[in-house]
Amino acid sequence: MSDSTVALAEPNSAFGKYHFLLRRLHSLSGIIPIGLFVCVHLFTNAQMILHTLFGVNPATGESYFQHEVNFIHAMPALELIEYALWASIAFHAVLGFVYIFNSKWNTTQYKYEANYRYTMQRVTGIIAIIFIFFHIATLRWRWDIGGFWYTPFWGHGGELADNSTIGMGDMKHVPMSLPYTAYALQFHWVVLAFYVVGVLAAIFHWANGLWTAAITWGLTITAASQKRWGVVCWALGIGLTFAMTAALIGAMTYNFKDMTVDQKTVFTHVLPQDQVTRFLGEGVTKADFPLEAIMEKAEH
Amino acid sequence: MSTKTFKVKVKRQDEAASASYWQTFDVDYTPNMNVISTLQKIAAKPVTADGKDVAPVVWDCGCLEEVCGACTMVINGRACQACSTLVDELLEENPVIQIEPMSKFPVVRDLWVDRSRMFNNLKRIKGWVPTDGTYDLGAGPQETQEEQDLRYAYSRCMTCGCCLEACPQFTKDNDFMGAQSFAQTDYFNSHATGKLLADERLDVIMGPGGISDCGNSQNCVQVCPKELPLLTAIASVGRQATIYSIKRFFTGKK
Amino acid sequence: MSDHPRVIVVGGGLAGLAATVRIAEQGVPVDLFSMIPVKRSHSVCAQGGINACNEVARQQGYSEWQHMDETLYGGDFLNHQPPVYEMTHWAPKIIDLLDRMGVPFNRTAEGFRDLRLFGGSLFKRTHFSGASTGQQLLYALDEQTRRYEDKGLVENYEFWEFLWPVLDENGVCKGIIAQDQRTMEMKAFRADAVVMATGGCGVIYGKSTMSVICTGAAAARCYEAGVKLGNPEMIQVHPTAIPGEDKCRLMSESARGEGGRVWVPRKKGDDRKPTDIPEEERWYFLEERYPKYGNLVPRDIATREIFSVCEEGYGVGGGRMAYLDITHLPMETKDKLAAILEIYEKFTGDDPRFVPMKIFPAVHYSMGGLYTEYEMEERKPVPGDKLDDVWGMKDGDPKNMMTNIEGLYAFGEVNYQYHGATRLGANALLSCIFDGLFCGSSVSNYVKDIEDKAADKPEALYQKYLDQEKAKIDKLISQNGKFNPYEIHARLGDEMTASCTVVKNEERMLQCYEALNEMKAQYKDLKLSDTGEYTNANLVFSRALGDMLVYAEAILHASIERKESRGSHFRSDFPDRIDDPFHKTAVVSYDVENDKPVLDWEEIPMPMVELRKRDYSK
Repeated sequence: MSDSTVALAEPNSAFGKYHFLLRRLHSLSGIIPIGLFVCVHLFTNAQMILHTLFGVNPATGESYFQHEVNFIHAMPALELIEYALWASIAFHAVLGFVYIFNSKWNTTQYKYEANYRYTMQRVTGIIAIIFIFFHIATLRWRWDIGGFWYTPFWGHGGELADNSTIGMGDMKHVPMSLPYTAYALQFHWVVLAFYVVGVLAAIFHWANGLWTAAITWGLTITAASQKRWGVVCWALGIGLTFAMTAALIGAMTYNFKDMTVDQKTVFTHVLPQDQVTRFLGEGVTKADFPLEAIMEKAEH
Repeated sequence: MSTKTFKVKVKRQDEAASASYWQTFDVDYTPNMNVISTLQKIAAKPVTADGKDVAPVVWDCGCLEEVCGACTMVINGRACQACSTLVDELLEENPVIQIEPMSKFPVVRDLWVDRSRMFNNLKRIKGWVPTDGTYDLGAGPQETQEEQDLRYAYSRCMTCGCCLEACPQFTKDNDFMGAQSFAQTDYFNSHATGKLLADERLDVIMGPGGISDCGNSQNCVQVCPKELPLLTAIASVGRQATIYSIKRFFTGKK
Repeated sequence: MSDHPRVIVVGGGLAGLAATVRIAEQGVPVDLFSMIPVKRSHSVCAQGGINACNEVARQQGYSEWQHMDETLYGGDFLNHQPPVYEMTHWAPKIIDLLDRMGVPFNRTAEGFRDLRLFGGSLFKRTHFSGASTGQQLLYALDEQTRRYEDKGLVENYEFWEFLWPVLDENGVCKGIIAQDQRTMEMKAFRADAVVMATGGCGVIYGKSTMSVICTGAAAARCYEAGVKLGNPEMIQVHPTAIPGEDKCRLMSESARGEGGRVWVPRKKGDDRKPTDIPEEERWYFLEERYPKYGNLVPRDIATREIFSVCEEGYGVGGGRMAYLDITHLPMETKDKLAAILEIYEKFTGDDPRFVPMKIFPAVHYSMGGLYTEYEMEERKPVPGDKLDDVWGMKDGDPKNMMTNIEGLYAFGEVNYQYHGATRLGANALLSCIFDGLFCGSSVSNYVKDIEDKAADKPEALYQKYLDQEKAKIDKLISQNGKFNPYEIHARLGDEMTASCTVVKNEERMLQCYEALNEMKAQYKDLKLSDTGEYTNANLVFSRALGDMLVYAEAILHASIERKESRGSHFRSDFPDRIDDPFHKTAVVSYDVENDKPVLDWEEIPMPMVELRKRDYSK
C-alpha cells in the first residue's frame, strides 16, 4: 500500500547527511554575515544625511560619511572579510534558489498575511540578489554596462579628454565616497528607484528572515513570544528603512559645489562637460582645477 | 412550483492515471445543508445540469462531525472538511460551489485521494509511546494540566491533511513531511515515556523532508480545522533539533 | 503462507485495535481489515469518557462491585454478570494502561487524572480527555498498532471490506473474503481465527449519531452465515444530539456531567429566545422528576422524557427540540467541553457558551449484536465485593467472546455482551477495550493450540466462497432493475426510526414489517447508477443495503416478540417490565431457506446480583 509514497532522498547521500546542517547554515549565513553587514552598511550610509544637516565635519574637513568609509577601508584583513561575504552571499543565494524551485506558491488560494510574507520572502530574495549583483558590479567592479547601468564617473569614459590616461587609481588618495554615491543616484531617477526597491527588498528579506529564523532555531515557541519577537523585527525593519531613507536624502540633497578643491578636480577631469555644467553650474570647467595639484599630493 | 436549486461544479477523475474533467450538477436546496449532504444528493441522482446520466461522484467520508478527518476536499479553492463546510456560507461567497480533490495527494477516484504518505510519516517519526506491553504495570507518568493542554491540542490531529494541502513547501514530487509530522513529533517528545525515542525521532525529522524544509508560510496553522498549535510545534521541534545537533556534535557516536 | 497461526481482525476501532495489539504482543501475526484507515474509525466520535473505579471514588465508598451493579441495574439485568464483573474489575487497570500509552487525560491540580460525573452513577468515576475521549483512546491504540506494523507483526488492509466468513466442512471459521474498495479486487484470506470488531448498525436508521460506515453490514453477513444475534432489539437512542441534514451529531453526556441542564419552556409553543425566558418559566423536567440523578439519569430514561415532553407540545417553539443549557457554567468548565461546543457552533452557527443548545434524541448505540459465549470462573472476592462467591471470566479461555461459530469472535459494540438493555454513558469505550485486551488472549490461545490449520485447507474451500461473493456482485450489477438503492435506504431509515426507537408498539412495527418486506422485494429489482469495476461506491453501498434489510428485520422481529418494556426497549402497549417470561436473552438466528429471523429465548444466569426494580426517580 506504500506504492504512492514518494521516494526519499537517501539519508546517507551527501545531501541527505548534511541536509540539516546545510539548511541551518543557510539560515545562519543570512542573519550573521550578510544581515549584519547590510546593517552596518546601511548605518554607515545613513551618515550621508549628516552632510545635509551639518555640512563638512570641521575636525577632518571632509563629510562625516567619508570618515566612516575611511574607517572601514582601514580595517585589517578587509579583503578576507570581503571574500567571506561573497561566499556567504553566493551560498545563501544558490541554496535559496534550490529551495524556491522545490516549492509551489499559493497566495492566490490562501490569502493569509503570513503566506504573503512567505511569497514575499522569496520574491524579495530574488530582487535583493539582482540588486546586490548590480550594486557591486557597478560600484565595486566598475562594470560599464551602459544606459543607466553605469559606473559613476568612469562609466562616462574613464579617460581624460587630453588623452593622458589616468584612472581612479591615480587619484585614489582623493576621497570621493559621498560625491561618487550622490552622483550615481542623482544621475537618473531610474537608478534611485532601483536602489529604493533593492534596498527595501533586502531589508524585508532580512527582517522577516530574522522573525522566521527565531521559529526555525526554536527561540520563539509560544504564540506570544512569536508576536513579541515580531514587534522587534518590525522595529528593526523600520529602523533600517529610516537608515536607507537618511542615506538617500543625504545623497539626493548633496550639493556638488560643497566638494573640496581636490574632489572638484577629479570630478571635472573625469566627467564630460555637460555633467560638470549640470552639477557645478554654468561656466565651470576642468581648466579651473588643474590636475597637477592633486598629482603632486599623490606623490607624497 | 419549482424548488430552489444551486449549482455544484465537481472536478472528476475516473482513475488514478486518467485525466481530470469538470461536471456541473443542479442540487435541490434545503436549509442547513453541508457539502456532504450535497454530495449525497448527487450520488442518489447522478444527472448533470445538462441532463446527462453519469456515474455517481465518489468521495471519502466517515464521521461527518469533523473528528475522523476523512472528508478533506478543496472547496471553493480552500482545503477544508466537507462535513463542516456549510452550503449557505459557500453560496454567500459564490453562486456556484466548486469541489475538487486535494491536489497534493494522488487521486484514487473523483474526490477520493490516497493519503498513505501521511500515515507512513507517522511510522517514520516513530509516532508511539514505547510501552512495555499491555500488562498491568501501574499508572503512567504524572503530568500537569498545562502539559496536558498542549498534548491534548496535538492529540486532536485527525490526519486530515489540510495543513499539507495548503502548504507551499509540500508538493506531490518532494518528500517534505509537513506540519502534521512535526506536531506529532512534539506530541510524543513531550510525553515522559514518549521522550525515550526523542533522539530517534529527531534523527528522522532532521533528515531530508524534515523540519528544516519548513518555509514558514504558516498556512498550516490557518487552515487546521482543529486549530492545532502547529507553529508552536514547528518552533519546538526546531529547538529540539538545534539542541540535539549540538549535543550530537560533541557526544554523538555516529 | 507460513505454518504460524494467523489471526484476522475485522474493524479497526477500539475493540479491533486493542485486540490487534494484544494478539500481536503474544507473537501472533495479525491481518487487520478496515473499510477506512483505522485512525478514522467510529470510536473517534466517542466524547464523554471512560468509566473505572478510582482511588478518590473508592475512598468515598465506591468500588468495582458498585460499578458492576450500576452497569447491571442500568442494563435492566439483561447483561450477563460474569463478563460485567470482569470488565469492571479490569477497568482501573485499563485506565492505567491507556495512561501509560500516553493518552492525554485531563489532570487535577496535583497532576493526577481528573474525573467527571456521568449518567447512572452518583460517584465521579469517568476519566476523560477533553470532550473527545474516544479520539484520544483510539489514537493511543492506533499508535501501538503502528508500532507492531513497523515490527512486521501487523499487516494493515485499509479500505478492504469484509464480505463473508469462510467456514470449513466442520463449520469452523478459517478466513474471510474481502474486497478492496478502490481496485475492487476480491480475495480470500486465510486465518486460524477471525475477530469481528465491526461496531454498530445505526445507518439502518438513516440518520443516527454514527459514522457512514456503521451499516451493520459485516454483522449482518455473519448472521446470514450462521452466527446468532443477541438482543438485537436493544438499540440505544441518545438523548442529546443535534439534528442535521446528513446525520445527527452527538452532544455528549459530559455536557450534563459537567453541570449542563435540560429544559423546555413551561408554556407550550413558547417561541421567545431561550435567553429571554426567565428562570421561573423554564421547566427542568429531568431534575423535577428524578431529584437524585437529575440530568444524569440513564440515557433511555432521559430520551423518553425529552421525547414525551416534546410530544406533549412543550418542545422548543412547539417543535421536536429541547434545550441543553451550559451557559451558566464557569468558563474553565466550558473549556473542558471545547471539542463538543466547537462542533455545535460550527454546525449551527450559535455559540453554546452563551446560547442554550437545541437538541433531540437520536439513534446512538446497539447494545445487542453477535451472540457470544464465555467461560465462567469462580473468583476470590476483592475489597468492595459484596459476596463471598463471585464469578468472573476465565482468563485466556479460548471460548471467551467466541460466537456460536468456532473460530469467529465478536468484540466491542458488535458483541451483545456487557450492556444489557441500556448502556451507561462512558461504559462503551471500556467494554470495547476490555474485549480487545482480555479476550485478545483468548484468541491467541485458541490459535496456538489449533491442529487443523487454515494454511493446510484446500484452495477449493476458499474458491467456493469467492465464487459466491462474485456471483452476488454480478447479480447486483447486471440486474438493471427499477429501484434506486438510496431511496430504499431513506425509506428504511424513516420506517425504522418511526417504529423501532424511543417508543415502540406492535401496530406500528407490523406496518414497518410490511414495508420492509416490500423493500426486500424492491431490492431484488435494483438499478445501480455505477456498473464499473473500479472504486464503485455505488456497488459497495447497494450491497450493504441488502444486509441492512436483513439485519433490520432481526431488530424488528425481536422488538415485536419482546412484549414488555425493559431499558431502551419501551413498548407503549406493554409499558411494564415482565420478568416472566422476558428476563431472557433474545437469540435470533437466520433461516436461510425462508430468509427469515427465528427467535429463541435463553435464560440469563444470575450468579451474583438479584433482579430488582429499576427506578431512578427515588
